[in-house]
Amino acid sequence: MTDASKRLKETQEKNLKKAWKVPEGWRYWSEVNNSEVGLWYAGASFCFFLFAGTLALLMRFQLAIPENSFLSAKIYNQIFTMHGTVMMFLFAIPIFEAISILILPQLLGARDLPFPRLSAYGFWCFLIGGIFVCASLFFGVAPEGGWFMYPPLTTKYQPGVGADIWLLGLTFIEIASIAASIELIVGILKCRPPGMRIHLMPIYAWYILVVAIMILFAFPPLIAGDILLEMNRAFDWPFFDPARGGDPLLWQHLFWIFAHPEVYIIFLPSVALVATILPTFARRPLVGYSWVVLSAIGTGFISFGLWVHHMFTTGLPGISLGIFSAASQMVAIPTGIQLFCFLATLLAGKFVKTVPMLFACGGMASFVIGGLTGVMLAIAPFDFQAHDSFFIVAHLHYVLIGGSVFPILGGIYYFFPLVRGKQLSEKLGRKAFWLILIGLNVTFFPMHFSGLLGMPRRVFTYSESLGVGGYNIVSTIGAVILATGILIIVIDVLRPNKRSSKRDPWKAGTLEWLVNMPPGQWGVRSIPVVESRYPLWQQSNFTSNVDEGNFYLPDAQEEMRETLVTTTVDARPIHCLRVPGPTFVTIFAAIFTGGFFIFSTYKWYWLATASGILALGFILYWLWTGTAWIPEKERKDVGMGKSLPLYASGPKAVGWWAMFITMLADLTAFISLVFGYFFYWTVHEDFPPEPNPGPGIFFPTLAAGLGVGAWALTCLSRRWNRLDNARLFYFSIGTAALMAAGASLSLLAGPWVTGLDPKQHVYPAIVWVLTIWSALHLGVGVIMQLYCAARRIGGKMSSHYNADITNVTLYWHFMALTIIVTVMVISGFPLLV
Amino acid sequence: MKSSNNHLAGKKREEKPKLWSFAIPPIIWSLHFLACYITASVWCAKVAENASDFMIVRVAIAIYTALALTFIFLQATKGRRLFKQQGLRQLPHSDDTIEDRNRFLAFVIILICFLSAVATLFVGFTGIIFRSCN
Repeated sequence: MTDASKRLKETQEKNLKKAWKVPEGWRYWSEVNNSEVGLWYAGASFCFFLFAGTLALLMRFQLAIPENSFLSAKIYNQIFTMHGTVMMFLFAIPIFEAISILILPQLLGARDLPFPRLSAYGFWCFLIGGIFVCASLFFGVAPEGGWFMYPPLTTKYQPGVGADIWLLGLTFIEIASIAASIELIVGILKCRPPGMRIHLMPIYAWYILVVAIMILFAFPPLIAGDILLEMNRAFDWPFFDPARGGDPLLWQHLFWIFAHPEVYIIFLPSVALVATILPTFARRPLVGYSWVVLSAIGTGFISFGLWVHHMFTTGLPGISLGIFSAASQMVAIPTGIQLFCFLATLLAGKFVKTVPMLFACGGMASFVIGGLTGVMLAIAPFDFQAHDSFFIVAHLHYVLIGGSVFPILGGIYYFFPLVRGKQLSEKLGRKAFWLILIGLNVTFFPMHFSGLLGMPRRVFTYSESLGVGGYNIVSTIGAVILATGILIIVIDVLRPNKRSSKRDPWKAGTLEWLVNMPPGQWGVRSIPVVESRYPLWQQSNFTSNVDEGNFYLPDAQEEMRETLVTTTVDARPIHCLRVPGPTFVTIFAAIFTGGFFIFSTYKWYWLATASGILALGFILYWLWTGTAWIPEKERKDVGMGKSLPLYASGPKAVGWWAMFITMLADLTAFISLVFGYFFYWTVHEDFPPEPNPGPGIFFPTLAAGLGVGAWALTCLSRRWNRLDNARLFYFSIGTAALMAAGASLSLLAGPWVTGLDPKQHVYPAIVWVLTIWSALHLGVGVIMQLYCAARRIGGKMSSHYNADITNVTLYWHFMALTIIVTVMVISGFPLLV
Repeated sequence: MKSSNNHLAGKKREEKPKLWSFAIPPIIWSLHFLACYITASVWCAKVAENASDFMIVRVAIAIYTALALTFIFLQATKGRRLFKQQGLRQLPHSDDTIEDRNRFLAFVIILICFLSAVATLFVGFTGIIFRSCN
């Protein structure tokens, strides 16, 4: 290397360091880079795991002997509710998002994911919501209705704020999950390194793509259910009160449409870790890559057709049970394919016995036991017998600990060097593995027998005459063994003086191991051209070329954080994306968003409204200052003789994809509410009631007309902005905003003028909910339209730099669909029946 | 080192396969699943009176199943055609070429069609087994 090229390299590295420098002191918490946010996320969710695990131990102490009085029934109820809730919502899903945010950019050779501030906002929402929900336990007001919150238990019999904390706290946390899924989908589809065609993508990315898409369709039904249940509790709208036409089964449908796919949302990312770890220690590429992709996609889809197997004993028609039973058995096929591919990889390769490998293999073996009992439970007659017994507890813990916790623990050992530049102890890791494996089996295997002997779950004690005392004491001993194993891992992670790791300590083949030791902030020195599935194994001189800065973006001359955007299928570079840097605005936005939900829990609605307005203000400020920047130049030299635009709009822009994905989730929540309307139609003879009490035809039809008009004018605004006709742009966008506001008001006028009383019967209640949903969305549409007008006035949007109006038009496409469907349902359907 | 220009060299003959074609067969399964479930549950909740009525549901499920299998078969045929166009080659289809990309896409589409067809049949069988709502 000549002196000149040495100097150039030094300058480039200096620029990159400056651009990606982590703020120091108290400003450290303003960082939004994936490596910091991912670490906080992982740390916080692991703390929640330890908290929920401690609750499990308390339950096991209570159940160790018959008729024990260690915990009262009330405290036990709170503890089992919080154990399930925290494990599912604050550990299992967030830890996968955390790990993905942490490693995905490295795995894709990207400098960062496309929306670092969104990740940071999601993390702060998660942390605030998580602390709020967990803290309730220490004040004796925690929810007591189980992690599934079934009404009427949670409507009629629990007047405290516990259920509200669950409903509003978790709705708040779900924002974090949806934010993370947007980040991950766009990151995988648009931020892959050049050349990494779709068939060369790391298998981990395939799994995460499938899971992130699943989140978009699984979480919104729960949000819809939360809205209905909270309306029932807070305002006495009778969605789940049979005396006034409601039906508790609707909650079960909405909850399980979410919660069953959620099991796979938890399981698949952990399988992704296994699929990443196994080839490294088998020292060969994964066998059956295409088959594993098939399995991930197939499992993702089929998992949405299983929810009723949680409701086999609710009295649904036998044929409905048959349909869901068939799908529940079917899901074993893609799941099995993955496991056979893993076995084939091990058979065809080596078996390097390391701690991550032990956890990966031990986890899959344990999962198979839970999977087999799952197939048993998918058979309705067997489920009738085992339902709500400890057999189910055994099944789900084998599935979740084997299928999720083991791979995550293996992942901690595997990726620790990548994150901290240090290695965890192989000796302690092995001890922990065997203790956890033995603990798992000693704890949960006896529960199959205690369950079949009739021990019910979720009851704080049991009679000696049931004859399950022996099984229970064994289970408690097992839980202590399991907890000891976890404790060893905690000690290993926290102990100082860990051994420094060398680069690529496992001799892996995937991109994340390009990282230097200790890891720098910028990810990779230059963004490589990828031509194989395991570039570190299969491309010669790959690491040195990356280190020499011979690939893309080796420099950050403007000292701005940059990464590449590439095409979806072939990963051809199309855009140089400047990602925003550290800010406190995301923290404030999260605090005030949290305020909205937390104040609502205590029915302090004025404070909640004020907090919501402040949250909106911070989000608008964040969008105004941190998105769709107009660059100082049109294009930038990104290395390898290529120059790329610094601005993009439409499908080339990551923001457009984020809007599209967000609206898919939003539409799913809306469809869930519409499902509620038709669910009531199926269970009632007189739904909609005859004569129809409202909302009439005139106002809803007027609202549809105005809403569609607002949509058409928004489309025209985009066109006139593109043609640089400012006068027509301002006229059309202003008129569109007025029409949208009119649509919102006239939509609300329908049930208002016809005097529909939402407390009287479920029919007016569901009509009001659909109406309010659409009216609020129209309101958001108005804010977006005015925002675009302000952007153009403020010189932040022009005919060429038009990402804002393009994204807002996309929102309005969904809005037009929403208002048309709303009006057809609330006004059109009563005419047909 | 493999030729670093492979992915650029293939550009000239590049076709534009759609990533979402992976999703079509399972979406057909989902629609079939929903159609069967909605038909059966609405019928049982709103219409069911005697056992002979239920024959309509069974015929409907049979029709849905036949339609779904036909559409899945058509997707599989498209996948097979794309696969054959690239020239037959063994797995793992992991070279940095347009051909291997298309082989991968086509192969996964065929596999997903197969899985979706089996899943459709699983659900469709309920129409054979059940002779009444319960």
